[in-house]
Amino acid sequence: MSRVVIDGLGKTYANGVEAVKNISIDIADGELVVVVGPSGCGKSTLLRMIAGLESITSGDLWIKDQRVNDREPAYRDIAMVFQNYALYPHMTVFDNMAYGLKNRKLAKAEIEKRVKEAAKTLELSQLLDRKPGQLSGGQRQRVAMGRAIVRKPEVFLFDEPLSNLDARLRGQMRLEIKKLQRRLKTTAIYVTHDQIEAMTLADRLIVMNNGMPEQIGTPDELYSNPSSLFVAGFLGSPSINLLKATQLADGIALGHSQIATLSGKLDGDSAILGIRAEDLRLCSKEDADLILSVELVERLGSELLAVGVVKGSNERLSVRLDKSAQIDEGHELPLEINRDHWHWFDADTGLRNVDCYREAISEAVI
Amino acid sequence: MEDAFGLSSEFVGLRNFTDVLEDPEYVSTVLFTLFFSALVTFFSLSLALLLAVQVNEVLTGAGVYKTFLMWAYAIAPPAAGLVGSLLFSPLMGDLYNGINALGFDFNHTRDGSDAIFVVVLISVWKQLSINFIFFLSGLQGIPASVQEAARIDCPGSIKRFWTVTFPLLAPTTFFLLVINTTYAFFETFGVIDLTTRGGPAGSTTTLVYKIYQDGFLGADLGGSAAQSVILMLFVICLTIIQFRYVDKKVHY
Ligand SMILES: Nc1ncnc2c1ncn2[C@@H]1O[C@H](COP(=O)(O)OP(=O)(O)OP(=O)(O)O)[C@@H](O)[C@H]1O
Ligand SMILES: [Mg+2]
Repeated sequence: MSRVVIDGLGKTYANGVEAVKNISIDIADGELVVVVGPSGCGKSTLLRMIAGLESITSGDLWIKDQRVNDREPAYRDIAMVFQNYALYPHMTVFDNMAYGLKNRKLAKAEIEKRVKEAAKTLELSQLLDRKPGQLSGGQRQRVAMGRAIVRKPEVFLFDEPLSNLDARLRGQMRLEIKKLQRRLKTTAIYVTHDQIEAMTLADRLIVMNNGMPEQIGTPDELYSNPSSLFVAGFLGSPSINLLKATQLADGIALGHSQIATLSGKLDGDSAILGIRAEDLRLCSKEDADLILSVELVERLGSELLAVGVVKGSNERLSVRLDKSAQIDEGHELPLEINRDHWHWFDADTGLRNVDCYREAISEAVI
Repeated sequence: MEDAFGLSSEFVGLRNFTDVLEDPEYVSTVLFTLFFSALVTFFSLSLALLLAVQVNEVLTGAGVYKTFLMWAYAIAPPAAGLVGSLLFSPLMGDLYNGINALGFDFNHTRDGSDAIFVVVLISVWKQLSINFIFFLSGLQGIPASVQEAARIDCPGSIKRFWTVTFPLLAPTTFFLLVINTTYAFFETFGVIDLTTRGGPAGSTTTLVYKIYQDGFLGADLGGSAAQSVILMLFVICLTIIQFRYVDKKVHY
């Protein structure tokens, strides 16, 4: 069982940069965990510590119930796919894949069998005699994948393996990686800054911010229950709509210029309300919480995305609607907020706080 | 061919050439030059590579190292030779005292192999810094991620060096091989002139030095010119061979 236990892992570089602070997660055998976050948040550092390419300055790392903190990368039984593929330019595709096996003293026949097999899976059979310089970007990427899978390691490590491919190929390879990982049942840790890649691949996600894990959970959990403004803002496309809520004498004002008024009471003077694009619904003018003047309509086939400003303000919102909606630029849409799926956050800490808001009924009791 | 006073000359066809090639002294000079060039090239390349690999690993000190060794190269060959001959002067050289204190009877002005040792040492020393700089920049040119991939794929650092790092340095090595052979052939003139003057008994006379000796000191312009032509053909052949055989393995 290739369980990976990360226990309070931290990294302080020689120059004093604290790139990773106290991350803990217990990764089950065969699980695909995606580490996602903005540039510079410490994703690569975390992965490189697991690979053994970067020393661990605090905490413990266990692979297959063995503490591997001080083991050389070659002795950790991991295989890594690099962002720039890091193929050996002087070796053929075959040798690139066979190199790690040769150094582990596998029988020649076995090496040949594994490489041929991987080449077949990855459609590289025709290219085995080529050098990396004679391959396209997508083919190089597949060689890098092949080099990892022939090793049959306990853990796959991916550092943004698809970011150098064009959008179409990226989507295709994303699917292939997931299929391959499912078939091989190898534990995998996958780093990306692309939240769509993260959401589609992950069994579980680690959203990192500034070296800290902001939230760990399944994509669904994180999408529907973001623990902080950061997670809410990072996941989902288009980004979640965030509105400042201020307590007034007779209700709650939304937005800086009071674009809508809610009944009810805030716990404190202010809070932040997050509403996903799909949680704004078309309704009749009487029921509307706000009116949106549409500036831009994006038709994505199955659905439709409208971006506009709330009438009489410069507060910009995006709305996801059914493709059948008859709207166009310049239209005014009456919208209501889906109160079952809204997200309240503390204005000071940015943390999720469902108690920020109390409904009008409780106000009546007071 | 000219007479001893340079007053008359007659056309002798290829006799200058046949004379030169039949001269046993010339043959031994050729052999010495080959031996000397091989030694200088081998040691200046391997020592520089060793240093560069070490420095590349401790990148922090690289700035200081680089400038330090660049200075060494900035000293022109005669100056290096002068310093060397001072170091090796039987009267005042520190190295002399050091080596002889260890119980060796070392004297490059009398003993042929000692003399060879001295010229090789100084020539290598002078060439080391430039080779080092090239190797270091070659090493820096290898993507870090390729080295890292190799760390995952290959447990032994020495094996990793010979299977990944060294093949990737091949273009640099090849370039330096050509440069260093040429250096050993021609530019060591200054070093030899200032330390051993080709002696004792011609034991450190290279082809270029012999041309100088015969032509300028011995005033045998015809023989000297013939030697020059032979040397030129020789170096051209050597370079072609290097390009032919090494070049094939260099490109990837
Ligand atoms: N070798 C190093 N020495 C010092 N600081 C470093 C080193 N490598 C990275 N850092 C710093 O550590 C922090 C995290 O870097 P890291 O490469 O892990 O980010 P990342 O999340 O992978 O970003 P990206 O998405 O851009 O790849 C950054 O602030 C970076 O400047
Ligand atoms: Mg990174």
